[in-house]
Amino acid sequence: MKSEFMPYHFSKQHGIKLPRRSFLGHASLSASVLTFGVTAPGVLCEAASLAKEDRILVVVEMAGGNDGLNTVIPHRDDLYRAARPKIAIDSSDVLAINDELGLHPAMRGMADLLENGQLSIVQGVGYENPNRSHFESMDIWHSCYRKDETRQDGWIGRYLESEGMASLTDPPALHLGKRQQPFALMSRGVRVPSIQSLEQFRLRVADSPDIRNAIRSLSNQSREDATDLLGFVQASSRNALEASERMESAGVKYKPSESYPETALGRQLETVAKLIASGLHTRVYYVRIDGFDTHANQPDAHAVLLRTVGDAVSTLVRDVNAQGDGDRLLVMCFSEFGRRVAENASDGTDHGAAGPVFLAGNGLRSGAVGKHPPLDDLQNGDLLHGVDFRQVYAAVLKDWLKCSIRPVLGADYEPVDVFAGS
Amino acid sequence: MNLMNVEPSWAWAPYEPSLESPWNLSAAAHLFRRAGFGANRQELEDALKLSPSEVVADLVRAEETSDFQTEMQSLLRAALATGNVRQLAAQWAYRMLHTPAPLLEKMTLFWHGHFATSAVKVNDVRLMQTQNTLLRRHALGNFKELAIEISRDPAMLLYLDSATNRKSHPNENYAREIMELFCLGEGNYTEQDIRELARCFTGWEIKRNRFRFNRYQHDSGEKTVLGIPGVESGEEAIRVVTDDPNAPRFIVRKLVRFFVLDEPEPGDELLAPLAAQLRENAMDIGPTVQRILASNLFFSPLARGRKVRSPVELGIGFLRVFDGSTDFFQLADALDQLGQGLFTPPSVKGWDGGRTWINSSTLLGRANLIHRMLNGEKTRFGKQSLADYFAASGVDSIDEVADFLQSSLFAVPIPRPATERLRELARKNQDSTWVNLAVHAFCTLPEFQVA
Amino acid sequence: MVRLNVFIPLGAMFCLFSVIFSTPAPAEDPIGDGPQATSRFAGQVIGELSDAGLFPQSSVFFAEVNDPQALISLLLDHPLRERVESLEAYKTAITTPAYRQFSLGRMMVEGQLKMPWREALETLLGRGLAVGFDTETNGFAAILRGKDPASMKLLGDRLLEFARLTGNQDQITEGEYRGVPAAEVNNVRFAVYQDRLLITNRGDTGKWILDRMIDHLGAKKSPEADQQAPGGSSLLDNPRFQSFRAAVGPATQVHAFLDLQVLGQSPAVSAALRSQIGNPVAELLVGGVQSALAQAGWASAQLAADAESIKLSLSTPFELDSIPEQREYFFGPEGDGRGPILPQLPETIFTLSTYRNFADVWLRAGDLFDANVNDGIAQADASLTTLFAGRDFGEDILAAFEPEVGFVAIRQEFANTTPRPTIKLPAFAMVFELKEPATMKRELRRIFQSLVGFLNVVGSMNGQRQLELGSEGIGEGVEVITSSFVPEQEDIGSTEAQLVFNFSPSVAFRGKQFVISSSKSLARQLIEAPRPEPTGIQVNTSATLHAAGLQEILKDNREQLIAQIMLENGNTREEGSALIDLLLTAVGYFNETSFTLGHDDGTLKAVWQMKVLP
Repeated sequence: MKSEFMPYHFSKQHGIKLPRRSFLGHASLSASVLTFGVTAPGVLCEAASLAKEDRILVVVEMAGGNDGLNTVIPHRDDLYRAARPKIAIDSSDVLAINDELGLHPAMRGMADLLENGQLSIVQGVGYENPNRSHFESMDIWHSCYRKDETRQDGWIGRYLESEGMASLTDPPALHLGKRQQPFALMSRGVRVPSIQSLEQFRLRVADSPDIRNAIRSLSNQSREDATDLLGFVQASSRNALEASERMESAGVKYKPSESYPETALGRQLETVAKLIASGLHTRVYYVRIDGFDTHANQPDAHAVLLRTVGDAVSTLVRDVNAQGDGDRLLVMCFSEFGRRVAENASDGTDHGAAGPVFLAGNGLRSGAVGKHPPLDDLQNGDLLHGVDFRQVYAAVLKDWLKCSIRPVLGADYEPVDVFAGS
Repeated sequence: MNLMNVEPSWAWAPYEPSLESPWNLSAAAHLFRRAGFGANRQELEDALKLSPSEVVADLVRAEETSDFQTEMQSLLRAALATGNVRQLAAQWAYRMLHTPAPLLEKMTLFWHGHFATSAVKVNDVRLMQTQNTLLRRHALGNFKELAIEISRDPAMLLYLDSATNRKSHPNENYAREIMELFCLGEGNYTEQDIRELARCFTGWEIKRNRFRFNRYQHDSGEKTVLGIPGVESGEEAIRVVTDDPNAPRFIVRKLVRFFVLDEPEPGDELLAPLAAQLRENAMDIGPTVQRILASNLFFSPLARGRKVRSPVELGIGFLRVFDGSTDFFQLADALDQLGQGLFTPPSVKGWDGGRTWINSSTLLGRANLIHRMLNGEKTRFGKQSLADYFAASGVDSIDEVADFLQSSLFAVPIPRPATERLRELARKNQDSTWVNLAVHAFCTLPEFQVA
Repeated sequence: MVRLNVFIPLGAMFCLFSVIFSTPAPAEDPIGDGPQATSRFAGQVIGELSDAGLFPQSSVFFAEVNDPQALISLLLDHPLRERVESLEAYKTAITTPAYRQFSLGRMMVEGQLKMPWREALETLLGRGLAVGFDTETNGFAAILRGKDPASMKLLGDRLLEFARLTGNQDQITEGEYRGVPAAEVNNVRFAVYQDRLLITNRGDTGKWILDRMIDHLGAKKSPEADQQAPGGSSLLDNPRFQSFRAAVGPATQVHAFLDLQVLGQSPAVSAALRSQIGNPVAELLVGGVQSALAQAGWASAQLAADAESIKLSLSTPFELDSIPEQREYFFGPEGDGRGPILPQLPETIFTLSTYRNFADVWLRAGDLFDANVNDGIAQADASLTTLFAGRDFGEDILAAFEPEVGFVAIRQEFANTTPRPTIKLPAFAMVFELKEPATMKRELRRIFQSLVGFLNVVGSMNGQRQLELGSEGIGEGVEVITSSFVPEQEDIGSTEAQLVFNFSPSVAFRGKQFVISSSKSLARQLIEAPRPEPTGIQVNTSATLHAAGLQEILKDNREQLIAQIMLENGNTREEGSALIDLLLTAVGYFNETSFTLGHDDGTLKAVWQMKVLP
């Protein structure tokens, strides 16, 4: 039973350590910070020295099957132009990754990250016997198992569970959005909240400073004959009220270093930035953008989607860096499959197989990783995958989240080589 | 007092009120909180006119009146018509608040967490409601029958991907859950038992949202489950599983955790008399629940305030104590936010409860739910404002409010400094708004989270 | 889903309504000639009474009630008032503290004025009320024209007395201007001249108007005469005001004038009239109107009410040249775009008939909307083109239709059919004309069939009922392609069936006519019904909401609505039933409400009309 379990940041009974970032980002605001009564540790400047609990993963799910071939484009390849007479992107328009490859012209944001050495593009990611159903393929990416295998939980859920995060004082992961919770976050032991707005992290009280103060001080008051259970609740209450206060002050003091794009994804990632700035201990944030199922009239729609993702992600990376938390952040963008190599008759593309995964943040091996799947060696007209998606997860788990791979992925997948230090 | 050195015979013996453990408002409120969703002052005072064992017997006996059932039928029909889980959940919240049989409803909620099935996956409100009705029908009835019926319940089997089970490919999913989560608990069976049990269930299918037995797909070969040879059908297999001595132990442990205390974990020895009784009663749940609720341990300090309020207990309980009523859609949404979405438990394991209810987001959410209910324009207490409700009950000062909350709503003492601090606050707010301010502030106290 | 929140505001409106109508009958008249005096004003010709000549030419806003007496009497003596007052809900409402407070305040005022408030109102402004805002002096002014100079003076004195009793003495100053007594209370200035009470917030505005009154009315001249009198020219000299009067014709009970040319000099107003609207729905509703306003010199509002209806008209000058190319979709390239004439069906709830060239909007989205909206449209275009089997949504689908579009919603009759859904939704349909019926008919039939197939694939994945295609040839050149949900075992004979049994999506063709409908019966009715002959009152857009149909559909879903109220408001069943019955009663007072938009003789007019049952 978990009754004896003390989560990692309980320093002693009912005492809670404060989030480290409070001392990093806002050292100048120390008046309020110091009231928390802890002195700041040395500045953490290298990713390698980052404590494991300070590392944050933001997952961006690009739902619908992103056309990888028009995202990371082998524009010099004659086969590419031949397969896509109407929707191919011209060499003169792409944003160069290297001599052979270019990003879709709408991905200015991603190109900026690349220039700053903050973007790693893993090419040709997929799995054996690709499934072309959105639901099934998404379930495979989320659970790492196929339909005929038992699958009751998702890879992030298993990660949270294997790291013993069932009863932390902050939610270990957060899903932003109204829609159904992603399967990746499911587990038997750890519940992940879905949030629609920051309001859920603010204590609503009557507009009276008296009552606010009263609530805080009464929660803090020492209780002499409290049971363990009540002690736990009291410690958690104190932490919750502090989180609320940090959120209030983050609302006032946090100024995005630049404005986020006026898109749903932009607003969600701004919320993520605010939550990070408020010092929440949450490790994983999950957001989703829909619409990549571009069977017809693809060019304009796809450009909008790629711009939305690129602009929002790059703004997040820059903003979190400007707030002083850049080294704690890794963003991963994936889609359930790529699309067929050949375009269809409606200026669109149909469901395919392998595609690229984007990783953004500091401390990455920047640029294209792995080989672009060859266009002269297709499987049923689809790109062959060179990297199993679990190898990407393995890198994220082992080299970023610093946990073991096997309990999460069920086997020891070889991590892709994307982290500079790995 | 320490749970480790409690005598099992004393623990489950009927509670007799005494000087150090009187049958008073607090004791009655404790009983109603655990056995239901709390009670208003009148109900508590009525209870004190009877003995504790009579009150418990009444709770176990209580049935929904036919008027109430008619009213619920119409709400249910409306919810099913919309096909909307949110409305189904709101409808259940309404039922919990207004039911004349609170223990029955509380046990229905218990089984919903035990045989957890989520509408998120089942995606059919009618099937969810069919299951809910099944759980209510057997809530205080026989566990074996419940286990057999739930094994044929379309929502359950769809939820566990067990809608097909062919003899060539026995589906072990459901067999595993019935051993691990529903009847025995981990470690009380082997992988071989799961495989054999799965074979017993072959041919059990859900077709067009109905259960049917496909005899062509049933494996009629020799099967041995939990050491018992010659088990033929799924029904027989479930009887074998529920006859296993581990079954009553497993169920009793869960009931004690649900009704008596979150922690520490009681030892097998302490639970033995209850398990023995459940077995003697051929797994009839009612008498065991009755014994737990009327026991010494239940009314002892080891049980008082030793549970974290579940979101449902918090939301419904807050309203019920003051004869309140509110926007049930919002309430159901809030329960979901706080981790106890009705009809949407997080996994087949149900709700772990206890400390897992609590984290920074749920604690703020709990305080905000109370705030929203108190100040929402849809919320009324006995059809009036809370201030008027208190005035009508003769509760006029902050101390009287604190006393009222202490005896009806709080399981552990409200710290003195809280009352003092809020007395100052009430003095500053001369108009009646201080009532809402004070009640909200009291309900943000850590003490409020335990019950 | 039938959602209740729509009805709550209606309920609130209804309560407000009750309060307005809730005056006790006039008591004994302390001044002398009570309500009988009413008839004295009745015969006077409206328009003669206009006080526009008393406002400066630089007035940017002017509104006038010509015969307030009639309006007061219409409201207070309306037969509906008696019916509302007999309602239980009304009797409860007047016991609320808020209402008691209101009554108390009213009694205080009556005590001070020494007459019932209705009579006070009639005495004060029985013969006219005019308000305006002047940009030159930057002031608001109101002129109340009372019964006669004597009673006006008496009331003025009593009001001042009342102000002295209740207000702060320091903030009351008394004086006079050119012999006219005036007072200032809290920066608001009052003066009584003959039978008129002037109220203004600016001394300069007040002086201008008083000068005008003394110079013109004092000499017993009509305010409209001698427009070149000293003191500058009046609003009557404003050419746009003249154009407004010419266009509006004989003045209605209430009218208001807005000088857009002067107002447009403000950067904010100019920007509001010229910037993109940004929201596609708003663009479709008022895009063309915005363009017209941007070029127009004035805008006006008129209100007319009688025992059976209330009508609000908004007008502005209209020139086709003022509509830019990208907004030709609104009135048509020649400006003569009119909505189609729709057949009248029994149990209609709502009809909309409009001229909008949707294909143009789709294809010109780049000129009409900002980048964000265009991003959304690009994505929608990809999905819709996918949905329509690869046919380009803008160029192939939308462009296949003429811009005359109709929308109809009617109550569905489920009397003897099963499966009968528990929630009974209206059936609705859109009515189009095809540009090339010969080719488009086949094309649309095929698209409809593949759409049904697509819905079946998606539906089967979600365990939903399957659609079955069918067709009904009715007569020469008439074809209806239907689809209906196949009942499963549990649905057969059910009177509590799922929501989907409200729907049997169908399309129908006859010549150029094309109907797409949520139910096959409505598709048939629409395609078979004879189209009434054009009557010459066709306008760009017209919409009508029929209260009888609305009431029926509410009745159909009574149980459902009660459940909704119980869960949403935390009410008991009794409270929920009472609320629904009140709503049904309230809807029953109305006949229909309609809206039209169109232009005629160089004037663009939007008219909203609500009819109550006599």
